Amino acid sequence: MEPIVYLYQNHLQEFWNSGQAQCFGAAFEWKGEQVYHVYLKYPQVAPTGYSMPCLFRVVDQAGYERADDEAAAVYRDLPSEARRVPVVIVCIRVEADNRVKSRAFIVDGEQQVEAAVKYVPRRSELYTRSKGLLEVGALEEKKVLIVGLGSGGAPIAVELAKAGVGHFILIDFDRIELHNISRHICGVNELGRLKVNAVKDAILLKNPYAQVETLAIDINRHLDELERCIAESDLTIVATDEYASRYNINARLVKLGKVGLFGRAVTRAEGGDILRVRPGGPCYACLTGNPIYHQNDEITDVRRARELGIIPAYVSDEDANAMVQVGLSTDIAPINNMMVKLALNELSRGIECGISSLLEELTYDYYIWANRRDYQFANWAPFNNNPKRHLTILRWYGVKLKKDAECMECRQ
Amino acid sequence: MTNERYQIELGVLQNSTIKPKQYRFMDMNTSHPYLAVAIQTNSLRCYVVKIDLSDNYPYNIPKVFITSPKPLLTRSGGSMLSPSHSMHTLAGENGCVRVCHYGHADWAPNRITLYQIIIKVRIWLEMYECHLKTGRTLDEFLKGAAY
Repeated sequence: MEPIVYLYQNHLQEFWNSGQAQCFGAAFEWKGEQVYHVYLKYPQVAPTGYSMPCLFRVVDQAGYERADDEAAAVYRDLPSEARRVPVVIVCIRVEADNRVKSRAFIVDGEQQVEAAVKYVPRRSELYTRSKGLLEVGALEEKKVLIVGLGSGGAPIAVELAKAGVGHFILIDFDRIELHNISRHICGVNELGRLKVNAVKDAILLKNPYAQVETLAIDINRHLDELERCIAESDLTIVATDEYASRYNINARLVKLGKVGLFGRAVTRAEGGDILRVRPGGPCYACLTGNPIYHQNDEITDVRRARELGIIPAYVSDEDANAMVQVGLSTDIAPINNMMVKLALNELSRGIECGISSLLEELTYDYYIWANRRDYQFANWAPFNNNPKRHLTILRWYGVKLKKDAECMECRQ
Repeated sequence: MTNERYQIELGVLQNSTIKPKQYRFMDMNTSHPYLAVAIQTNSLRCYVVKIDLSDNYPYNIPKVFITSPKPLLTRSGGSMLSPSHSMHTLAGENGCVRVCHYGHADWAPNRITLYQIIIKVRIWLEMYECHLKTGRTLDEFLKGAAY
């Protein structure tokens, strides 16, 4: 199998511009797969794979043609310590038209193998494949605030990055803990990390040019900062797990006339719902006062539920632990997917693009989804026997939610 | 609490059955504002209630304490400073009993005002006095109450 070396175009350009003839970099190998990612400077996101030495060398036309000899000579000149492990040597040649050409070799003692070179493109080319469906350039300028980076907020952040959103503000004061792992995008290797940093890295892995601001704060204690973030953003995604933060965000969305999406899973992720708050429409407080709203959020963490008063102080530890009944990641995924669709709708509003038709259909402010006919959805019709087309599971239902004329939050 | 919300709360209280001399907003320009309310029960006993507005009211459920008499005791003279499901109390602070009024699932900041909390505390106090007379828990009375 021929080895493959991935080079970052912007690194090569910067190296060429620096005028150096040779410099060391770092390579990371996917062991046993003959795949090498090569960096001239330490990347924004901690690289994956096993590290090994790497050396970049600028060569002329003749040197490029006999690059295998150049690589062998470079290897011989390396200190003996560096030659204890395989080394990646990259020979670079810049053509008259400024086009960069490279040849790469994996050298291990007497053995030298030329690798196929592939480039990770510059910013302008990274999302060309999405063009035609979404105006990537337009989304690149959009800023999304995401509050809460659990099993809801984190995948939404990554999906929006994949769609080409260029600016993010991430807020969460929590760390990745063991009980998160089964449902979170982050794995065991990220245990203990602040969620804002872990999700920032996940975004940058999809879009290395995204601008990501992180705030590891409790927004209920930093309301001025929250207001600044909402004011700066085109859209606010609310994926928190408690009411006070939602009400605080809602109050500021109403005050500033901004758009927000509130998404959540209800107990054991038996279902979920999404509220879209737009200027002039119903706000989150209008919804929670409405009988259609089911108050029981999913409880995922006893300690946090105790702090928030969701589990009252007089409930024993044994009973409190019994209240923690989390759903499956797969039950949260449909809610996240719909959140992303609604988010892209809002972000591309006024822009002619491939998803414009959705704007004419996703006109409701409130959406409900049921995963199973349990608890609050127990009286819904069976999926496989529903001739009268009653409400059933695994379908989205849009609700025409009226603004509460008495709402103390959004009434004029 | 924003000034707009303060005006709403004041308007509701002014139009309620609670007389202006019964309540006073205290320390409103500090980080620990609260509402002090004097409540008289059917037996003509008087209690002073503190509704703590410091923790981001109305978005967080405010803590409610009985500041006088202090401390309230059970019929048998026991402490009420510990959380109790049957007595509808949460962990007391500074020797004051903390009353459980609205639960997490019932709290709606755009619909519930301080007046409604005061009414709930009045009910709690009536049931507390029933407890003093009979020894039965507050929960036994509240379960049968249409409130």
